[in-house]
Amino acid sequence: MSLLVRRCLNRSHQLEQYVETWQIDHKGAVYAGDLEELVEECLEIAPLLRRAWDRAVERLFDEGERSEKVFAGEEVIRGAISRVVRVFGISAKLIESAERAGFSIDGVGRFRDGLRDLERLEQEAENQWPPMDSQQMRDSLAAYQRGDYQSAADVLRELQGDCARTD
Amino acid sequence: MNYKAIVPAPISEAIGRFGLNRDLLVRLVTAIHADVPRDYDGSRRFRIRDFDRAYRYRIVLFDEHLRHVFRLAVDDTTAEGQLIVLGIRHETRPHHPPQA
Repeated sequence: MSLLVRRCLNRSHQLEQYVETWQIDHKGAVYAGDLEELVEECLEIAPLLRRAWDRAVERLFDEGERSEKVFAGEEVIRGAISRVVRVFGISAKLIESAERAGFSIDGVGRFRDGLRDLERLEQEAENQWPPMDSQQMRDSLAAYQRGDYQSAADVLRELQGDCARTD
Repeated sequence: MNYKAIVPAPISEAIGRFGLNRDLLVRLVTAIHADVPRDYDGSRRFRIRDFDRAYRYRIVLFDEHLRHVFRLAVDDTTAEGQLIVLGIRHETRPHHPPQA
């Protein structure tokens, strides 16, 4: 695991812990100073995730990277993105309560921009690296079960036969 | 165990729709035939969420202008010794080979 991926993993867990303990410690009371620290932490992790995701996509296309490493990195980063989106959501609610209680929280504008960026990143990850097509997988399995398949070796022989005929 | 890669008809059809030139097509099928079984031990742990009879595999190929990534779903649970390609996706991005 690269250091960047490890940073995303550790910091996303840490951020999640901050939110959980913050809620336990304060039991619904609003402490604007702590909330501002939470906002800062959220704002720091968002660009880290963006960088890690862009690098993961780059590695997907890199012939020199082993698939195991690529997939492992992708899973970790996707997990971290989802975790942080969830934490942003919780933090947004805490900010709203604070604002309703009359507190002014520094960095709220940047926080809301950060939340939008992160949601965009989550969507982008889904589009750039979409899951496998489940209908295609079901169709292929059904075709296999009724004997409608070839070995890759046979497909290759056919292709090479075609090539020879073309030549 | 010697594993054999299997290509069901919908996958052959999907590959046909990718619009690859013959050279790339041969290289893709060669990779399915040779690399999928070769890398089985290292790859099988990356199971597909919600479809865990299959694992994920990736093939990267280059041509003059593009980098091609083929992502595969490979079923290793249905038939012993057979690695059945159940899913395939194809993504590309520009590739600029170094100038001579």
